[in-house]
Amino acid sequence: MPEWAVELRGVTKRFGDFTAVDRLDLNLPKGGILGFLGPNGAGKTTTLRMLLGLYAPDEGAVRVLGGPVGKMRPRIGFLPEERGLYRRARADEAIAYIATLKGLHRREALRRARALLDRFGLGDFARVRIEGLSKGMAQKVQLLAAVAHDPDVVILDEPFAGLDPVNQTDLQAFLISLAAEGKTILFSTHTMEHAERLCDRLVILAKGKKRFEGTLAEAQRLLPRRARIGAADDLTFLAAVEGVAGVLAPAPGQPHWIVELKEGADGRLLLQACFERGVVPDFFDLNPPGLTEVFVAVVEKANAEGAA
Amino acid sequence: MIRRTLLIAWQEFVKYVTRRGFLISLLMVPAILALSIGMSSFTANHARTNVMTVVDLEGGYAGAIEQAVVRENARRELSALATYAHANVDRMVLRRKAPDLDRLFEAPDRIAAIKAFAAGGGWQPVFARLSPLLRAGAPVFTPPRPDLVLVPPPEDLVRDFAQDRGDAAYAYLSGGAAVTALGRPNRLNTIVVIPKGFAPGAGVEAKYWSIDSDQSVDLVRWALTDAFRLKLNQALVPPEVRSKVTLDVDAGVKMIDPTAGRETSWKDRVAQLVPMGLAFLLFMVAFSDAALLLQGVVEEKSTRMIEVLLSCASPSEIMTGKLIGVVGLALVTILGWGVIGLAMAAGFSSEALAVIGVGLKSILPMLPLILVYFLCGLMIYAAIFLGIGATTTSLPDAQALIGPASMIIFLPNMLIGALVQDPNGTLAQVLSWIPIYTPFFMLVRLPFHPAPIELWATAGLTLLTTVLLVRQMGRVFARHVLTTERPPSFVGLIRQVFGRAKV
Repeated sequence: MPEWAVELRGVTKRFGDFTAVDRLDLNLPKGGILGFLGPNGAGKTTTLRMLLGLYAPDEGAVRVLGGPVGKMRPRIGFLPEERGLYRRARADEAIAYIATLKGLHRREALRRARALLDRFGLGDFARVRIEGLSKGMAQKVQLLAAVAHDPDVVILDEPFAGLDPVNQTDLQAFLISLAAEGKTILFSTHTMEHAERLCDRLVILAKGKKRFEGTLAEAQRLLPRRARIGAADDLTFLAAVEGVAGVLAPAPGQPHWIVELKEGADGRLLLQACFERGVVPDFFDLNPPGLTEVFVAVVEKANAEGAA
Repeated sequence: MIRRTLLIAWQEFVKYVTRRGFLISLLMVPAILALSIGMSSFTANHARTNVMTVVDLEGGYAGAIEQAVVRENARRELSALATYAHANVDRMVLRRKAPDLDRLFEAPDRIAAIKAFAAGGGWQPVFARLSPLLRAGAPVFTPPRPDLVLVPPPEDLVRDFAQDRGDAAYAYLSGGAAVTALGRPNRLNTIVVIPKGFAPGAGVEAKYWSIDSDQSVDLVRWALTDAFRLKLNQALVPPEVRSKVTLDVDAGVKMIDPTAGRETSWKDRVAQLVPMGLAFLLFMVAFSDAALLLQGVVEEKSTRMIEVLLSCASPSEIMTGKLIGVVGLALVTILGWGVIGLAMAAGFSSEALAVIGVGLKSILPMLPLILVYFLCGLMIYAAIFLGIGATTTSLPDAQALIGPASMIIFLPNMLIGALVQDPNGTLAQVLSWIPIYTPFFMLVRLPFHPAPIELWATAGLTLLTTVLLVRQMGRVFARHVLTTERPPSFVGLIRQVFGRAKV
């Protein structure tokens, strides 16, 4: 039986009459990056807080690295959504303080803090107070505070929020390097591009329930394959092509026809049919659906179920 | 620009004035003032009667003190009767039908009036004459309780003092032995000893023995001065002393501390002031340093720093750490103030450092209890502030809870006068058992020798209160510290602390 980095068994958390997380099961293997996706109010932060031991579940069990959360605190790193640092603290001391709370000796914590600051180009700002740093710098310092004690599991709540593209790229590279060191990274995000680029596995939560868990490819298979074709002519004739499930005319404001394909259908037959009819498409796309489309579809389905 | 300024001003005004905390604070100040006045009045009307005896080894002085006591009690009775007459008798009627009473009530503090009143038999004959003149529905006059009651000296006490011993004195003063006063057994509060060869100016002075009251020392001094002058005039002082004394000498009265069996010195006075000073410091640091703690928690909540901390440590660890931190901060604050105070005192007077040194040295025996009361008191107040900080997400929200909490915490200051007047009286004893006030009141009372059982029991109560309050506030802290929901009302917070509401 594998030892999971994170293990949730039938976890439920209620606040009064509101059920924030509903019978959630989740197994996250050691190593790799898990994206925790969901709309606002889906239960992401509540789940992360249970993983951190900030909340106790009303039902079910939470285990991290095979043990109860309370005992595993020193092996977990955490980055909150906002700047959780003392504004008057200096950058190196802010990092070292969290590391010492996690069990490092003060001297070692300061050494690691300064080394990390150097590695991330903030060496010159080690003695600058947090209130004197830019938002991107402070976010980096916060991230370094989350990992300075060399945790096995790193939990990040919206780590990309508020960062400019350059800092976002830096952060992505850093997360990939952490994963390469064998650490397990779990982060929540609203930005699908980051999840698509970084995550080995994805979990989508909506209305407190897990709606999907798997790889990006598995997520993409949740939606039928679609071809998007741009043409001035009527393409309804494509409905007769083998493997086509349906043809949708361009919606208002949308330039493309949507052709839904059955499982295993050969998309090239669409192009062939067009040329045989003398129609020359000015746009043709057979890529699988993006994570945003999958996410929206999953959430809309969850909302529809909730409404029903 | 002015319009925008006024709009902002109005918005700010409405924001604060419509808070429940503002209303509570608004009402609470007069309520506390009224309570304070009521308490002072209650204290005045229910002041402890000082039970005193005079051991006159020289002879001829006990009568003088007795006469002074009678006059003092007559003065209080006459003053109360005058106030009663002014309220319940028509002045014109009084002037017409009893002009002598009108003159008596006009200046009741005149010595002639008091003498006449006492000689006439006190309040009862005067009230009998006054009764037909009272307005309809006037209440019955209740004379004030005497401030001071003289009892004959017990034989063993006289015997002891004649042999220059004070064992029996301590037994009577500490309650180990009783005398009959006001018709029941009573502790003796004061013993005045007139030694053989009493001769003020020649170094043979009267002694005033008391554990917790100096309220009659002036009366004794004046009575003895009068009596001594009279004796001098009558050439009753011994011939060898006569050349050393003059007509204008004041009769010396030495204050004696029966717990030490020696004269009370300025060092004892300083020793009394140090714990009292600490009691006030307790409030000052509670309101300065604990307020910083509250501000810090609110900031940690708003920046989500609290989540990071909670991912590292349990709520109880965080709360306890914060409390210890604020205690350290308070101690440093006091140390800082102490150093500044020392430097300033040294600048003013070369003797100041010696006085302060004596004060600090004299509190050493009390140090364990001082530390318990002071540190626990600080923890109690800091825990209250911390709990409030945890329930709110902004300082204005916190203010709504701080207002009423501060008023309640600050209440003992209003009663300090009554407490110092009678540090071991019923009021002081009752107030000392209200847990959140125990540290303050016991610090003030500590130098006045409360009963040992009271000391240890209140110290135990303080420790227990600290542990329970920190635990309960820890629950409130853990319950609220991660929420951004509307903070509870003051009553709701109290219910949570006492476990009557779901935490």
